[in-house]
Amino acid sequence: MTEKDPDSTTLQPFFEAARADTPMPSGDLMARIEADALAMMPEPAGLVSAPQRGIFGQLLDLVGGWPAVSGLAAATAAGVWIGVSPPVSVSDSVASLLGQDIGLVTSGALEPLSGFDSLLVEG
Amino acid sequence: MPLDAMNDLSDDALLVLYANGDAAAARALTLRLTPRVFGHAYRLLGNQADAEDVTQEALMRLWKIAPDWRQGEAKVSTWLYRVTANLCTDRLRRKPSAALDSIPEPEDDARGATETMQDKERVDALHTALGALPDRQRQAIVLRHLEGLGNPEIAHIMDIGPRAVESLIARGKRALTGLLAGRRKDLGYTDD
Repeated sequence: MTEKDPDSTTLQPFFEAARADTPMPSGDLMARIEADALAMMPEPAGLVSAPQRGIFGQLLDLVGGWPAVSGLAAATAAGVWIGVSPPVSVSDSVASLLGQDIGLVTSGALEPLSGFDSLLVEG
Repeated sequence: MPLDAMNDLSDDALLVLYANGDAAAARALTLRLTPRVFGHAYRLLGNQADAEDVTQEALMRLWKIAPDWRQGEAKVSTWLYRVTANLCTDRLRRKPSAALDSIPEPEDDARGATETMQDKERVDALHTALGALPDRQRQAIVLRHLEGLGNPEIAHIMDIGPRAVESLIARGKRALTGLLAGRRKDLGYTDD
């Protein structure tokens, strides 16, 4: 290499001193350059943020959306209708399932004190 | 991605992340490249305020070109050295060149000063002498002997052949020797 030539011998101490004296940028410059970098940074490509949904929208998502809600509404309406005006077939099938007592309830022949009459007389 | 995790990424990869809107990559590039660019600008200009202006402008150009950067085609550092040197040359052309007489003379009591002070004077003398060289010689000397780059990379930065680099460095060193030889004794060096 050329490090042995007279020029290198003369200059080597100057170069060594300059290499040891590394100039450092100020904190202010670093801050300015970081601000430039962030200000000129392109927007993330293809990452468009979704609009925020309200509480109703979130509840809708929770139950499964509009198809699920229409199903729930139909089931509720059917339940109310059956409760208010039960078809005969429903009464018969319930009676046969639960026994005769249910027949008393549906016919209105319930005696609330039945079995306890004697206690009332003696008390 | 955390800043620490970016230490292993190349400048190229960080620039691609930056172009995709990664703020952490912007900070990592700032921390990594600013000292390098500033150091080079300062050594070419010998002036803190001018070096700061050039550093900010060079990096501004990098942020601007980031979306069009083609990964693998050129090294970010090579591109930055080139842009920085061009900006420094423009700035030096707008200012009167440093006169050789302006190389600071050591003060009489400098011999009793600390070694740090003496080193500072040596550095100042070198910077002033570098300022008296033609632009291309100064750039080649700084890249080779102060930045520590190899001739092939210097050739790439300066867009010339390796033999032209060697020629620039040899001529630059000869001129520097002439400028600084008389200062060796003043600055505490002994001829042995």
